Amino acid sequence: MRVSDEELMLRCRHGDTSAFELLVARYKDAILNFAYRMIHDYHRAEDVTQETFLRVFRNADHYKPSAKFKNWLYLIAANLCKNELRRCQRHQQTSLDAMMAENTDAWPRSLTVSTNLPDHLYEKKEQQRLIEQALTRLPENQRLALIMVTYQGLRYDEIADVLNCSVSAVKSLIHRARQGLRGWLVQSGIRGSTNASL
Amino acid sequence: MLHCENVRPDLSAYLDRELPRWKMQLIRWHLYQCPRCSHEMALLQQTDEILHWLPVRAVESDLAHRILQRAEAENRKGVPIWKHSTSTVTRFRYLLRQKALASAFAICLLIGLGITLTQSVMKPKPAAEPEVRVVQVDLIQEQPARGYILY
Ligand SMILES: [Zn+2]
Repeated sequence: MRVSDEELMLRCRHGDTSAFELLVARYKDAILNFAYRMIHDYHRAEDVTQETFLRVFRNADHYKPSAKFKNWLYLIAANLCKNELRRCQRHQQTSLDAMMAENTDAWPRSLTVSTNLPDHLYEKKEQQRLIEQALTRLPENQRLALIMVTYQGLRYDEIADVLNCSVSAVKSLIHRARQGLRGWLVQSGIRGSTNASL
Repeated sequence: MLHCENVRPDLSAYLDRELPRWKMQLIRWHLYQCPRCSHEMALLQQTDEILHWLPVRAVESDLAHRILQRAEAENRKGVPIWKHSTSTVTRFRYLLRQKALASAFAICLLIGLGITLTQSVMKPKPAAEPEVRVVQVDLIQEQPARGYILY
């Protein structure tokens, strides 16, 4: 029988490190991908993932069993991603040009596409790069909500809990995010396979 | 019967199946009849489909191990939260708690001292006893008068 996250968290509060280990195993992939979608840099996404779990470990005493563990975990990760993005924006303003000139690997890692790839792979990579770029243009909360519903499979009420807003606000955020994204995808010339022209 | 302007804002929620069943059915019926909303719906679906083109990032196999190592290292050190926490709020709360404890201790100490002092000041003095004067009384023995002893 699967032990619930909340039960594991309570065990963790009583110093059971194996319970913490199990929580890490359950959520590390999801949190890393969430951070990666937000930040678009694998190494910084990894740092955010590590810090998220360490905060869970440190603050186990403050965890209230009435709160859903998954929402609490995403709340920590979302806040760390926001901090990371702000830190990066400040840094970017001062030194982006210098960094790009010195090291193309520095930022943004995922936007660098190798030109040695075969045509179809190159095209695929290029499309992915454009999608990622379009995502980064969304306002922060729209991006968070869209990523949580699209890639993390969170429900609207869970997202509302993480973003500390109402379910109808989440509905609106996600709708506006999809509409905004569609505009940029049209500009980038990306089309899906379903029966509608973007 | 729903109107287009009422349906449009709910289309994303419809796509995510986040509406009550009765509303899902109403929108489904509207989409069946309305080509414009149906086109709008297809665009949203397409956007969602494109978003899924992004691959899932594989996690490096030792990530969990590194997280656990760091957690265990912190646990062994037994470092108090405020020392390793980067959160200003946590640090502030910790310091506040420490200060509150110290203040409570100081207040208790002061109250204790106050009570002791008050008790010693308010203690009634025993009634003053009549002064006893020790007077040295020289007993004057009357010397027998010198004279003759007559036999
Ligand atoms: Zn319509």
